[in-house]
Amino acid sequence: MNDAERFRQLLFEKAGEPTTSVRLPDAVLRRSRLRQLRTIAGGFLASVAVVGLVAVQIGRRDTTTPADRPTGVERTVWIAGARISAPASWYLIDRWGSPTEASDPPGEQPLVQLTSWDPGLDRSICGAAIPDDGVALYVGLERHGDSSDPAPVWPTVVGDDTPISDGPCGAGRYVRFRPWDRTLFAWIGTGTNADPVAKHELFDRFNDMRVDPWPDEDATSFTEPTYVVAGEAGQDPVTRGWKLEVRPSGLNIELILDAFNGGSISDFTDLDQSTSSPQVCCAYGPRDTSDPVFGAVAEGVRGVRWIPLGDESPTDATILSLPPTMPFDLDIFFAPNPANVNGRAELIAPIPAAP
Amino acid sequence: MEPAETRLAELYSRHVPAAIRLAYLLTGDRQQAEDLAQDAFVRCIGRFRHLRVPDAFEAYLRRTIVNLHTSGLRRRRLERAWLAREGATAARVSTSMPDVGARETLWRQLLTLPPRQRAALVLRYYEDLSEREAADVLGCSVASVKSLTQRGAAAMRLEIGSEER
Repeated sequence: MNDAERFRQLLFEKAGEPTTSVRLPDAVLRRSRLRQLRTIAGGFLASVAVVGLVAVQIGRRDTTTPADRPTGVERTVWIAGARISAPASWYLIDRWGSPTEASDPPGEQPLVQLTSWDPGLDRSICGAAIPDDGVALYVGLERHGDSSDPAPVWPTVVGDDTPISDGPCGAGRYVRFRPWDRTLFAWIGTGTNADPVAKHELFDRFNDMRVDPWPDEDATSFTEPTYVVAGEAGQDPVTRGWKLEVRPSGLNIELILDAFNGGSISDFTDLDQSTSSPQVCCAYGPRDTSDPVFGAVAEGVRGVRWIPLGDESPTDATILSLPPTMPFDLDIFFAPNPANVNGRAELIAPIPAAP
Repeated sequence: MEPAETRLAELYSRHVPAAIRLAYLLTGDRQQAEDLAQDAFVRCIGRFRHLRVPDAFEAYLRRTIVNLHTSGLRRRRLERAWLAREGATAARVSTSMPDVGARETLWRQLLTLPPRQRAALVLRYYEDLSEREAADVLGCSVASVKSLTQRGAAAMRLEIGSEER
């Protein structure tokens, strides 16, 4: 018997030690039912919040909220084997590992979307209507690419002279390319009145994409799509840096820090929106010192500072609004934590009383 | 019992005992394992109707347990510090693990590992997941799973090599 077998035997012996009942305890039943009700109520309240938020925004300008708080920062991240950057005001959506939808081209694993407007996470932008002034990039991986595929290798350059044609995502510029042994598909769509600056920005982002050997064979996870709101890319998909992602949870939001050293860390935050205190989720871990701390806070605070334990020099956190299609009264924040230690987050100023 | 409660009870009896065993290997504590498995069950139930693949409940529960476990880093840092102190006086484990004492020492060493290294080893050698499947649960790349497994095994002075599947 070798070490692996002995170790496996030890695990099975130890796993048999807890005596487990198959009967659902009353307390767990109550919590489960409550959780289900909260989820349903959360969905209902979210709908009400959309209507309310629109009404409030029309009726008055919230003086406590810094105007035009961005929903992202300029970021460059790895999504599977592709490194892509996004302007601060655009929406980068990680769809690697998310289910293929009817709108996705047949036989493709969606990878990433970059748009100048918030398309939401409910459906793919492939085939969706593009706003008149919008620009969109969709990249997918062809699952069954043939090694004899004549598609050109990377890099592939897209520009004004790339012909526009009809395809599975609608009218736009279509490109197929084979970095290494995988075939990718890209669709670049532009609205009828898209700003030429935005269009060329999108071309540049696509042309600057870097594609390295795929670290993972296939995306088999049932992960839901996420907004990538911040991140810094490492040199290759293995030392990939970090990225901060957000998507809806049962009650409100789920934040995910995807980092190389220690993999990803996430929390079903289900934050209490009635409190004005910063709530730090997954603040730190035994990971790379370049990983930030992150969390969520009541919407509209003036600022948050991160105070590392044993350090008197606080750091102002970057605060981001949630994308418009996530109508929760929360903002996201993140801050560098080079000492990689625990600490606390504080509001820079108290939230003014509501008028 | 209402139909909804019956459904919950069925889900619980089908999935939670195995979840407690997994949680025990991650925590090393019976009560903590039961709490962790039940917390994960409650959280998954809250999102159950959002799951696009309801059959994936077991995998989702497993992933939630690992996430909850690795998210509780601050508390477990204290545990690890305590265990490291306790374990410092224990004899080094020989690779042949000849007796019960050595196995107990190995068990204690497993519990001193960083949570994600421990989770990677448990997912690979107890849950018998492939590197790809373990990466899905841990939410990281296959390369990270390999690295976590190798570092965990090295820390435990195990020669378990690479079982590529």
